[in-house]
Amino acid sequence: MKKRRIYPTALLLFGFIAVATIADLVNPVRTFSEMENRELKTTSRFTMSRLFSGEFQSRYEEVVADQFVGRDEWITLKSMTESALLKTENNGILYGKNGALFGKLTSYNKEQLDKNIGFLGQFASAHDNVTFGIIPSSYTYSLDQLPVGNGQIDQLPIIADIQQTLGDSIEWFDAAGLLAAQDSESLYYNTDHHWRGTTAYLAYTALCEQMGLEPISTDQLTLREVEDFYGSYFSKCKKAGTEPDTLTFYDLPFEVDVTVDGAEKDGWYDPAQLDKRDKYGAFLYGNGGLTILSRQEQPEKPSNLLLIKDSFSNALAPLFTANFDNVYIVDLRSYPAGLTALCEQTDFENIVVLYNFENLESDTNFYRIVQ
Amino acid sequence: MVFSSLLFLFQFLPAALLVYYLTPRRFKNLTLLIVSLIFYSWGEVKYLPIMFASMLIDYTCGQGIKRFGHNPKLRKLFLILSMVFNLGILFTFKYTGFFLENIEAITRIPMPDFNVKLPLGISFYTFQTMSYTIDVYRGDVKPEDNIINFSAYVVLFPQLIAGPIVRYSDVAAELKKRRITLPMIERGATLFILGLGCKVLIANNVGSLWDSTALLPLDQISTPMAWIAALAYSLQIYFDFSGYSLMAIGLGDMLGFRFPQNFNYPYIAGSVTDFWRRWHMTLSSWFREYVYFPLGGSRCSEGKRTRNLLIVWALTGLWHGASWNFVLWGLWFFVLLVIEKKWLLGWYHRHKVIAHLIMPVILMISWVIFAITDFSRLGGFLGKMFGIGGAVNQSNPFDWLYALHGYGVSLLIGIIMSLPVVKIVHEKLAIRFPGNKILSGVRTVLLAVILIISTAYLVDSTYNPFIYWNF
Repeated sequence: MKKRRIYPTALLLFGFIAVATIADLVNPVRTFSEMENRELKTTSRFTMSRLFSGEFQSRYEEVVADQFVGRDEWITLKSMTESALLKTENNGILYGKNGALFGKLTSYNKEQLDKNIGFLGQFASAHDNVTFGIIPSSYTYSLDQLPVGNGQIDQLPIIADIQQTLGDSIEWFDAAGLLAAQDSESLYYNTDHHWRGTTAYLAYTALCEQMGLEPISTDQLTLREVEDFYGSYFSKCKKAGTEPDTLTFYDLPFEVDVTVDGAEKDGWYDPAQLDKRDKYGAFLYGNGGLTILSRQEQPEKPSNLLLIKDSFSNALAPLFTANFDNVYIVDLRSYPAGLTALCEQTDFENIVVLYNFENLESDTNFYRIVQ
Repeated sequence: MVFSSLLFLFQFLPAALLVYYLTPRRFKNLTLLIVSLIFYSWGEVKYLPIMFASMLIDYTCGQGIKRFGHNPKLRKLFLILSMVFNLGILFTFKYTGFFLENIEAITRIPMPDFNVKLPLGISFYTFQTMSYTIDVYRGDVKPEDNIINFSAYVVLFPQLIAGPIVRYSDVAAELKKRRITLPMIERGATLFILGLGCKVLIANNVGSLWDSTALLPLDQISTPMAWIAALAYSLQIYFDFSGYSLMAIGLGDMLGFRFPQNFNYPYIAGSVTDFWRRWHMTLSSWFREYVYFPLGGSRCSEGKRTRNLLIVWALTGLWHGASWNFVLWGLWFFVLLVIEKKWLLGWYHRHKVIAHLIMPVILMISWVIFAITDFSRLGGFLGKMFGIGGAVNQSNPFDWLYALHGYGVSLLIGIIMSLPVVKIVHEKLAIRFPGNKILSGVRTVLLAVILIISTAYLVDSTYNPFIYWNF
């Protein structure tokens, strides 16, 4: 009897391609990836001009990758392979020994930083009640968790230089010193670049003391915890086996009226968002241009705070409603109007400018502070 | 479209193979032609006319040489027409900008900017079609009468973009009559999966180490780091290019063509001369066949021989890109080869171990010259490799340790795979246990793992360039 030879590799390749191709064809379209926390591309519009410029083709290839059957599982498989190769980073995220994730920062935009500090100096000279602080990135307090020779920038001396440059023109809030005195493990989220709600509260109390205010005590606040939080660092590196964080924040004992860019909102955070992947986005509904939190009973002459911030302060800002009748929160990245008009219309008892180092050195919209 | 993309693997390839296999034999070349044109135009719709012109002109020249066989002048005219056309489009697209820049630099007369995208694979297919007209002119091959067959050769998608450089004579017989057999498909599938793994799992992995180092200011690179980066680039370019060639050869097999081998473990070479018999073999043999031999090759006086080598290596350098560092790179090899031919080959032969230790160092330096187009940066980087300008990175003394930590395993896999270790073990086992089921089982499982993990990397690919894409 003639023995039939089999061709295992041909069978493997064609079988694999056939199965994956057919599965991919019947795979339903997804518009959002919870795992990566981003919109997925679904279509590439066909026009002759897009065909000739190649835009149609490159977009189409992105659609194929975004919609590929089992995308999340493939990503996990890749990440497991990377771990087996002992990779120490992926897509700009460093892996800490304790399982925490950190942002890679081996260079920074000194030119932009100097410019922004210049704008800030200009702003401070026009107002006599400005407090300014820089929040270092999470790796600053966890250097022992990073592999040797990582080349991360030391933010602390740069921040100290900025303090010197600004001198007496501004009230300096020493966020770096405040955080250095704490237990480093509990300061920031492991999977996200932000600080935890409890850390935000620490910064709030320190700021209050510096401004001569009485901070609201934790006894009066409710500590809320939301499980299963995978933050921005995770969405970038998608490292397999990463333990989720618990999102923490202090909720207020009273109701506040909220408007975000003129639109009224119900409460200072969005409970629906807490069920989604991007839980941090619940606070203040993301990064609106001008968010105003107001106490429901306003005196004849209300007290106002202006907080110019990045997303680090989204969990901190609401706490100030315990001390001010109105808290004006400006995110310069989405506030093209500029601050001059706002400062003329409203009297602010205090102005706080609070930025994370990386946001400050990279923000190209900071000039709006003097516009 | 690159072979290592989801689009190619899971849309283009299954559709193309299905149509191709179902087409009756006499129409297979037409199917190949159409499928290849779709492949080409995916990247370059606007350069499609150049492709058609290429087919038409080289076909006509081949026919002209045949028709006017009795008239040497007319024959020569058709050859020259083909050469002028092919070299003309190559020069226009690839070298005009470079040429104008240099004129401007010398004469200080402002020249217009010439900044057009290089048509995909132009360096490869112009060389392929030139081989056709030259061989027809020399009487080495019969001209192809069927324009469909000829066009299918010109635009044949596996070999179109990045080698191997398949000469018409390599596939002339198969273009007319070929059998597609299961053993060939089996071999093709194996080579394709191996090529995919080389490209996606090794080249891309170590490539990102070179890329991130290349961006750093020189004072932030220590001497050991410079060597690790040079090693990473040496592995990247090898697995990138040989992986692509393997995929192309594998696809050729699946379609019923036998393409020539393009790489033969170049990094085990015992001399630079040997290296160039193992690296991009189809390009070296092209230059040997169509430039070096016509110039007189080595069967002439020593002075002429050196001149011939100089011409070949300046051209080889320039072929790789319109930039002076590529010329320098070609000349560097010219010098090395001349020195070897005159003095060193015998010595290398007697001191094999030392030769095999020196070669990687020479080659890593060569790839650095190849990789860095900016001369001052190139000088600085080469200096770094020898400790000039500070061997230590003051801001991060352990940069090399970090690189080894994250990339050590990948580099090691690359080094092992660039040696014929797996091949030798596999052959020994196959001889020892012929027809052993476990052995073939293990082999299939390994290939399956490579295929599946490569797919995972393609789905989540942030980094998937092709170095030879731009040549």
